Amino acid sequence: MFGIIFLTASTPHGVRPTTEQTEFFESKIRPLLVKNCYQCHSEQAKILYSKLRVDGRASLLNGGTRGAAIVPGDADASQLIQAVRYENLEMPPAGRLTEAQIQALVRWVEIGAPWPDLEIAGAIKTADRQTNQAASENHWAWKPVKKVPSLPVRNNTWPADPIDNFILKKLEARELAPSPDADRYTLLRRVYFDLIGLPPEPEDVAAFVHDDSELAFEKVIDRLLISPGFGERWGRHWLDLTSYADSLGQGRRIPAREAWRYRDYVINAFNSDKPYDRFVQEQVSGDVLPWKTDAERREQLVATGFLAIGPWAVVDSDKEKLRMDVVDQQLDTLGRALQGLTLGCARCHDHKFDPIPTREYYALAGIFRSTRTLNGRMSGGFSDVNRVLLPETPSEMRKRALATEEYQQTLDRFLSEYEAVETEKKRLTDRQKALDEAGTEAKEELEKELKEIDKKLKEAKDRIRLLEFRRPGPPMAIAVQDRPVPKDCRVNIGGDPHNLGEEVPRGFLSVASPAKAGRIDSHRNLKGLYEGFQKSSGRLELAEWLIDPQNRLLARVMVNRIWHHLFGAGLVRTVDNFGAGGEPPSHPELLDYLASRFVELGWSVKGMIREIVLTGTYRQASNHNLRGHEIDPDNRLLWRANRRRLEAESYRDAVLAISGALDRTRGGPTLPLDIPESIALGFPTALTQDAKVNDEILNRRTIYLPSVRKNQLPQLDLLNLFDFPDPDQTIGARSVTTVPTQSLYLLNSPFLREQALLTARTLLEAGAPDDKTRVSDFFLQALNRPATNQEVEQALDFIAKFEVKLGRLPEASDDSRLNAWARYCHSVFASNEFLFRG
Amino acid sequence: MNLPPHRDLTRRRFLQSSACGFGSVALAAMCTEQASAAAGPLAPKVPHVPPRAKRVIFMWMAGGPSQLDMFDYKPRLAKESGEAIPYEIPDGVGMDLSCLMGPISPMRPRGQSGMMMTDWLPHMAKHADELCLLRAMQADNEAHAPAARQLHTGDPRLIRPSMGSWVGYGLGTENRNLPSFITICPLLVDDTGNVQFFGNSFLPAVYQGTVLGSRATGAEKAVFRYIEDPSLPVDLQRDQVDFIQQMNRAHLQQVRSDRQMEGLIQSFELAFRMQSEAPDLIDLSSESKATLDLYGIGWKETDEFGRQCLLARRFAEAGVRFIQITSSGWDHHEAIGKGLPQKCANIDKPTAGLISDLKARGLFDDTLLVWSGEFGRTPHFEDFSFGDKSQYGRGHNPEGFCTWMAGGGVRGGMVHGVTDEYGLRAVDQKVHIHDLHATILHLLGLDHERLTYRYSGRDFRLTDVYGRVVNEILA
Repeated sequence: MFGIIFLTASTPHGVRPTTEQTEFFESKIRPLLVKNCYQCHSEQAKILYSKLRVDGRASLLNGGTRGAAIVPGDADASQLIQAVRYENLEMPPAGRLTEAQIQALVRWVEIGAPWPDLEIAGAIKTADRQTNQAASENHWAWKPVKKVPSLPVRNNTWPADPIDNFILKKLEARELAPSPDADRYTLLRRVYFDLIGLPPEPEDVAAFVHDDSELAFEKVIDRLLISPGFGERWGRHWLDLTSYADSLGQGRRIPAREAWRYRDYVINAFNSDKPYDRFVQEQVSGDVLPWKTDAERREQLVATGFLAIGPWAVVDSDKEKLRMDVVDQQLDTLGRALQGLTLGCARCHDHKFDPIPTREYYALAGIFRSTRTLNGRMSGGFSDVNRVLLPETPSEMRKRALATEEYQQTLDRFLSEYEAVETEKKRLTDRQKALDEAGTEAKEELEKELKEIDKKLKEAKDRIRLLEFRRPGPPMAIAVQDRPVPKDCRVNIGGDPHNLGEEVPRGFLSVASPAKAGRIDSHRNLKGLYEGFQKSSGRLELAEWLIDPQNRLLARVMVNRIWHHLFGAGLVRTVDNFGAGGEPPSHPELLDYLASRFVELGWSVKGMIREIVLTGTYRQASNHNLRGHEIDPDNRLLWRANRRRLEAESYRDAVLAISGALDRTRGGPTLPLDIPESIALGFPTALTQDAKVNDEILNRRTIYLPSVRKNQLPQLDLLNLFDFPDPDQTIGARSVTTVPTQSLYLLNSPFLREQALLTARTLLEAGAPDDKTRVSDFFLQALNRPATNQEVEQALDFIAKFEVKLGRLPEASDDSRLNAWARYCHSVFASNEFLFRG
Repeated sequence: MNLPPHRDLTRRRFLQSSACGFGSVALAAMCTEQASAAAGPLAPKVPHVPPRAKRVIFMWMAGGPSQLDMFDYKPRLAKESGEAIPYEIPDGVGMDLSCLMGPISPMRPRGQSGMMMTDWLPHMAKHADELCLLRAMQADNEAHAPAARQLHTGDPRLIRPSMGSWVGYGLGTENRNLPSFITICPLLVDDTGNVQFFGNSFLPAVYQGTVLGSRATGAEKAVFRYIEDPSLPVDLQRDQVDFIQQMNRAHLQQVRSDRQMEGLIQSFELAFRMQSEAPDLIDLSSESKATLDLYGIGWKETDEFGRQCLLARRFAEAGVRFIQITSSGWDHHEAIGKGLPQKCANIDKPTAGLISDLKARGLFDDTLLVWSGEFGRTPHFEDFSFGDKSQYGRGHNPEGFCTWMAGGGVRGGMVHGVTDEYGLRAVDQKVHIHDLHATILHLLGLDHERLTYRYSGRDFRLTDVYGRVVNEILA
């Protein structure tokens, strides 16, 4: 292919460079100019020496006070070349360029000083890209949402909701019929796990199966939707999309002490059914939204944890790169979570599959580069995440006053203890000195004592440091803020923050909402809503643009996520990628129907979920049938419900609930900062590898336990083994793996052994008349259905035989019966039926 | 070579049939896709081309060993030692007085090939004719974390599947009682090591490295987690597993068919079998005194790495595809004169022992050994002591360093690659980390351009868009 590059408009750049020339320029010339000349001869120069700029071909041709800097084609006549050769001027003044560098400049001028602009720099395979883009302009996801009210179907009796018509229509087209309704036990277990992540209790089961009213299921749903468990489950789905964790940093686990506030904010938002558009707006721009009350202000500031909490490489010494890495992560999260777009690709080149040019990436990047997420150096090369003070409530003030008083007293006590040890040490060293002068008797014992005292001294000091680390302070949140002077961002050529291209005005993505893709200020004029825009990053406007009805992706992406969580697969199975690299929707009209309904329902997540779980589609049984399997093995048409493995949290929470150990306390900080063994004091202070979770909170729902980056804490090893997502990434659809280490955990982990024992003890102590009843009760508790006679017999047979065998062991204890029951409970916890919801 | 189509076809057929004929009976049995799907994702798979090696033992020298004092002898550097640095270096801490520093160890030609090697590696020197030395290695980053990430995953920055995961994905495991990828005592401390270095990223989790022990436990106390229930004898546990499986099968019958549940039933059996095989595998007490001595086990200096090497041999023998062992502490910014001979002593006897043992057991020819740091070190010194020569060290150097391979499919006694006269930069026969990865896969019979995984809408490779098989070093 001939290396001519297609430009969007005529340029002042003279000859259009060939690909080779472009490569030559970008690898040899531009970096050289940036590094050696820009400080005094570019737009970024504080004083523009000789009024010469070398950051563009036109500037070089126009020259400065000494005239044109280059004569294209004639190196000897070019002042630039003369200067670097140290002929008349001596440039750069700090030291001569290397011979190779000078030769490169000479060659560049000789070939006409080609200066590719950004488009060219990004154009690797222009022809390919143009083909891709032509194809991708017709991509379904870029088209406006179009609501089809319903579709006609043959079997008019089945649909309970227009949603069912969309599903049935496709099934009928393939001569398939929906599966019959699931039995009530299965359905109840399903909806409990789906909505609150816990199994129903035996009374719930009894109530539902005996409720003859037509509204029986609806009543269950409405009860679950107002249970706090709802937010605890759906909040976690949201956290999977953000970079939330209770630690910062990529290497060390630096405690993110205030991150829990964001976690609680998310849970509360789902519980209070905060309209989704508002939810998004607060997370992207909460700090710059107006507020009426302190409580509102607090909530909005905390919401920006969405942007502020992340896997920041706080030790990076290249701060500009760090800054752009943070921006990149924020764009990546924002793109995937809210828009189903992989924006990251466009950091280095125009997106290969989707119409997202590098320019638009940097238009967005400008917004986030004008946003403060990290703060300068703490010590050495470390940065710290940005924190803001929250308006303090009177009760918090009172508590803090008390805590501060207590802190002062403790500190005083620790200090005096420290001084006492110091005095003791001084006494010993004095004695040692005296002994040294006198002779050597009894020295050994003294040295032992001294060693002892040094240890005590260190302990006393660490005690003080730990206390200081935990000094009570006013309420803070990890949050972003606008920088004082917002600035547009320049393109980082090839993703290199030190190789800068043109400046791009801040703006949005044309692909998601073409009409509003322009510059932020024009958008602002359009809306005319906010004053003082020149002083803001543009996040306010970005959030507005995201939730604007014209945005084609926000509602679609979210309803698809809801569908994914209820059915085990989205209508678009690549839930985080709606671009051309993702999968198309199985039911496009249904997706648009849902997206429109979502907006009509006032962006109510609960309302949307309610409509979906009340459909016939949701109620179907999950059993296999041969015909369905032959025609549609992946069940994309939903001829049945999908059976699903419980997520790690649901599994753990369910076991705790059944054993009776579950602690339903909600919210609040959970990092083990008061356990000295869990803390490695230093700069910065970090959590240790095997930090322990506080005993008082260990039995809470998993979402409230500390989540750390890289690997979850040892006591939560279950999460490591059962596909808990990497907190650093946006993972809308968790993987479901099957590896032997999981089975080893189910067989041998102390957690299951302990919980099984607890369960067995409760079972045996409860007032059941006989063992048969005990087994039935346990079945209802754990599997949420009555046991068959055969199952009861098999269980009792296992327990009886196991009890005998345990009794024969040399180290047998007297409670063989208890242990045999525990083994039985353990076996059920490890069984497939318990691991799934049908 | 341009073969006419029909001849090429014949050749391809030959390769295919010989691929199926390669290796164990199990491999032959798994030659149909159906069979391998039924046997799960770890079933042995047919490679793209006939493999030269069946498994890899990857030895990571964390920190970056000094190639200039171990393998890459530079007469000019030795001659100009103490003189001003003749090339450009960036400013930095410890560089105020920096000058060239000649090799600090005595080095001499070894074996028939005459490969240069330090006197500090006397045992390994005897195996010089088995080693294939890549002397002009290159990596992209001069900080530990990104460079080490690149060595393990190909990408210095992003989270990508590790090399061992790719190998498991491409080949499965030879022993269905064991995982395909085991990493022994990996580094998990701060910025120098990371679970992602043996992680599966977007590949199915079954391919992630199974961890044996940690740096904290050391190889002597390394165990698989949850490998046993101390409160229950095995026969009783068998009863329990039978009961669980009875429930599982009944439930499966109830729901009629479910691939995931079938997978779980299989996985339970594998877990139970692992319990019987894995503890024995990591129990070195059955090894003879002579073998333990061969690896230097029992001597303070060599015990840790010796145990890692011996465990690696046992896993290799048992059919694990990819085994990683790690020796850390090679980051000699200071006092290299004291630190480097110590590190050399740590690995010298164990590494030589591993080679001898593999040869004695007939495993050397189809086991590929790879030895590498994430980068090497600079020809000039760093000084943090204001002129105390004994405290001099060397800086990081990703632009020219040494890696060696041995065993399955590589030429022994070969030196490939040339650095400049000071040993700073690779100048000829360069091998980038991507090329190393491509070559390792090639030796295992995997085409690095065809070993792809579709994720997030595009095909990913270990070598991304790079990588060239270093054909020159193939035996």
